[in-house]
Amino acid sequence: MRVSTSQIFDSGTRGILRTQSELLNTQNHLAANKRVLVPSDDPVAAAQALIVTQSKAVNDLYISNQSYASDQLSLLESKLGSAVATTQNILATVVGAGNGSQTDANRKSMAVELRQRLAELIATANTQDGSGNYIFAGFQTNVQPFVSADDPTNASIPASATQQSSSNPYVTYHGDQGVRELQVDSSRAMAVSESGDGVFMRVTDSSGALTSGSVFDSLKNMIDTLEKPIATNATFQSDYTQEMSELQSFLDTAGRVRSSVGARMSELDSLGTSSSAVNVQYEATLSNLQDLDYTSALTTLSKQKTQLEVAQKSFVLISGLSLFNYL
Amino acid sequence: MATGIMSIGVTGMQAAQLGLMTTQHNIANASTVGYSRQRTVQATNNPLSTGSGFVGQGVHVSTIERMYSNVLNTQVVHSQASVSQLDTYYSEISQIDNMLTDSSSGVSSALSSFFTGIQGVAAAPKSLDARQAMVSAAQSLAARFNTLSTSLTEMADGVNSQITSNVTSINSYAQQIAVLNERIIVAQSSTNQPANDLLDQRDALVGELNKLVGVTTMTQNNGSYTVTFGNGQQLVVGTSVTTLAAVASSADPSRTVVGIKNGNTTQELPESLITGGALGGLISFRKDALDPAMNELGRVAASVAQTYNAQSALGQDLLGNIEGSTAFQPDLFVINPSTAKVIANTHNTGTAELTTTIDAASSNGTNFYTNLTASDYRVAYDGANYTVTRLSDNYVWPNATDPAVLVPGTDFQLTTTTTQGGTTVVSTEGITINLTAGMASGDSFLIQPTRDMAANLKVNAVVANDPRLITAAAPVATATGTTNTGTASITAGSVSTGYTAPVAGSPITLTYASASTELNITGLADPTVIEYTDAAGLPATITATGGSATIPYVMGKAITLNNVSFSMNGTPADGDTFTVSANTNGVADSRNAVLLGKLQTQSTVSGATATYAESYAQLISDIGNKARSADVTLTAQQSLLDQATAARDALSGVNLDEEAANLLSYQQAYQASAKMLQIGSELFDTLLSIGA
Repeated sequence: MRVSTSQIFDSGTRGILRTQSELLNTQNHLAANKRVLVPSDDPVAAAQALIVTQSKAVNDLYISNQSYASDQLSLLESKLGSAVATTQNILATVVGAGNGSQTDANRKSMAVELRQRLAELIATANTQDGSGNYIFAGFQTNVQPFVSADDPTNASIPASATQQSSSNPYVTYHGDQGVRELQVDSSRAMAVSESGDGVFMRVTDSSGALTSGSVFDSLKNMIDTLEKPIATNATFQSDYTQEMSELQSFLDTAGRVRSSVGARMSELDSLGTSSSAVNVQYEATLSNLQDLDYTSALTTLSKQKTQLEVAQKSFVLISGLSLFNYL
Repeated sequence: MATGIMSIGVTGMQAAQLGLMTTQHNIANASTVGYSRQRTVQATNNPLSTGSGFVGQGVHVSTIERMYSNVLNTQVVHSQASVSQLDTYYSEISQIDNMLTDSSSGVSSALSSFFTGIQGVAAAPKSLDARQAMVSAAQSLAARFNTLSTSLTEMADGVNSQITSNVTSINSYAQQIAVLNERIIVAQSSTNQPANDLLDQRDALVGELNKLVGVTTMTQNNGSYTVTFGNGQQLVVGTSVTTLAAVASSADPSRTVVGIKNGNTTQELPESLITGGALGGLISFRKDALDPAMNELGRVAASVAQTYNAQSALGQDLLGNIEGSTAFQPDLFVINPSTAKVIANTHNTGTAELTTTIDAASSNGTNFYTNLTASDYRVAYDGANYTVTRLSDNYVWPNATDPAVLVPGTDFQLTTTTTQGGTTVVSTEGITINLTAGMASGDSFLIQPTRDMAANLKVNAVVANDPRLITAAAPVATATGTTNTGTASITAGSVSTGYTAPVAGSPITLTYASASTELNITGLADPTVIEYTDAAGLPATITATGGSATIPYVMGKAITLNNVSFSMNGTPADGDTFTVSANTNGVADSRNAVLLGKLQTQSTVSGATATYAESYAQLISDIGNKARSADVTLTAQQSLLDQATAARDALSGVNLDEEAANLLSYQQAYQASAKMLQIGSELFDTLLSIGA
């Protein structure tokens, strides 16, 4: 074929330009460590990467919600533990109060101690978290949920004439029955709070029957019973027995709630494991979709470098040839 | 005798001289664009008839021809038109390609951050910090939509100005071709010889013209070119030129289109006529990539805003405001104007006006979603019938399956009917139009439902200034009576659009009567629509008046009071009560925030078929695919162009080595002819010496 002089120059230049542009492209991919720099590099992978990135972000949200839920439940669990411990102390203190060997003075000193325990129990029920939220107030976490008629530690408060019960409560509840939930997995919204109403106010025994009042009512009644001289108190024995059993019921109630909280915490542990595994999976998928195969990229780079060198050398060689050199 | 020798020698010298000059011309023009190498065509002079036979009389140059093939040249210019079109298309679309995925300019990352913000509020609804963070994330999301939309609009402006400058250049080339036509006609008719260099110049101009727009040439008998484009629109005929003009489209004045100037008026050309060249690239880029990208981006923006706001309206803010309260601000996002962009054709002569309403987000019971499409629509009237056309696929209302006819003065909701697996499904296009009377025949309106949505998305300033107004809580609370002795409990309760919540302090009370196993409901709003499941297990609805009602107790089945739903589980005891009340002081309630957060993974776009992210990813993959296919086709076309150019250059290009050889050959021919003169002169001298 006949070849024109400009063809020799043009095709030489074109070859060099094309190889240079390919080199630059390879170098850009290497510098960014990405197989897909712009969607047109691989439109399907680019779109999929976008969706996987969002799925991973959602999964990260679940992981962060899990850790938040875990914090909330730990606090809840520890406070329920305190309430149980306090009640066990109370039971240990009064277990011998019905015994004939105890004097009125002994029982009065027990009552003094019980007043401290009652204050302790109310304080536990009014626990606030780090942000000042009352944890047992349902949705109304900015109001103190448990308010007693008076300061129970005050030893001069006389024994009540009437029994405390849900219709005549010693401590009133100002929260609501709201239970806060967090999305901890795509299909799991987990309760991260317990309403104080269900824990302290609506006490049920092991068979599920409601007691006549809150745990505070039972405890106040116990204090009243202990403070009255036994000689003039015909109902001492029956009152004492019932109050003991109601306090025992509270242990049942609090224990049930506590074990449900514990179950949720262990569920969070396993959710955390699976969420992390899913995260690893997403990262692997993203890496497959986007990351550069260094070996093949470097091979390409070195191949293109050789091509460019050859194109440059041959251009200089061929363009230097001319018959005019010999005229 | 000697004179004969002399004259033959002179003809040889003259021919060699022309050969040398032509060679020199070739060498001088070796790198001139569009130059075709020339060569002399020699022929013998007429012989002299003598008694001894015919005596040759030397040589003459019959013509100087250019080495040119019309076929090869046409291949080059046509490939050039395709390459220029694809090159322009690719360089434009690769800008969007980069912009949409870039983590600092794309929407994806901002969308994720926004939902992280919502989850922050869901975890700590009382925290003003969390609410402020969510508002900030919403503002960055809106800003991201605005910025992308601005960039796309700037690209559209860029396309407009490039069309204008291309049209100017096309006119200039057409003018120059007409001038050359004239010169060629004159030159060739006076000499009957080809005007080689003029012809080359004209071909070079046609080549340049093809870089701007695809044209076809036809050679007339007088040697002039007729240049046409599109499907035969004449650009140059002989010495006359049709002037093109870049004008604002009558259908959408924000678009510059190409028209033909006819006196004082300009007739718009359909975009489909402009193919090839940079102009073809710009027009197809605008139609295939830019318009859909702007619409799709707007659709995602509108869907985020509409679905969020719809779910938000079912919530309660930190101050206790709910739907109906004066200070309630359900809309976190505002799109202003909230209607579709409507453009009346500038040629309209009627008085009709067209208004649109973007339909509210629909609910499928699980979540809210939008039905908007990414298409534009045209409403037209031909004097007898009104038609509405969906421009993405030219679907026309009315038609056999959707016979509804647009009636002026009546709302017209665009719906399509399809059959899916034997059942008829009616889906809407998310837009309702209302046309007033007075449309004249030939009038039309262009509707762009989502074109400007991304640009007009903003965060509601009232909520931004007071993040307490974010509606994280649900508007109702339920409670089990404190003295209940049964084991039944009541679920937290949820609301749907159009609900009426109990007034604060006046809860609805449900009391169980064991004898009749019924619930006596008191404290109801008057009237209240109650949906429940009857004793036989069938859904039932009653309207309670006077504030009370009695329904059977069916465990675990939903009871709905004026769109407030809940259910009860367990066994109630006689006289047990349950209440549904206002969610007074429910500051730690994040039930609605949890639902808002779920929108991220629910199908909220395109008639509940795609998530926000999927919808956006679809846009990216679409643009990516188009860019990739343009790139691949460009490479293929470029190699076709290279081949065509090589084929043309092989024939027409100058080879300097060849010219060097020609130089030597003509030089020798000249020297040989000159030697003839010397011999002739010596012969003459011999004769003269004899005479002396």
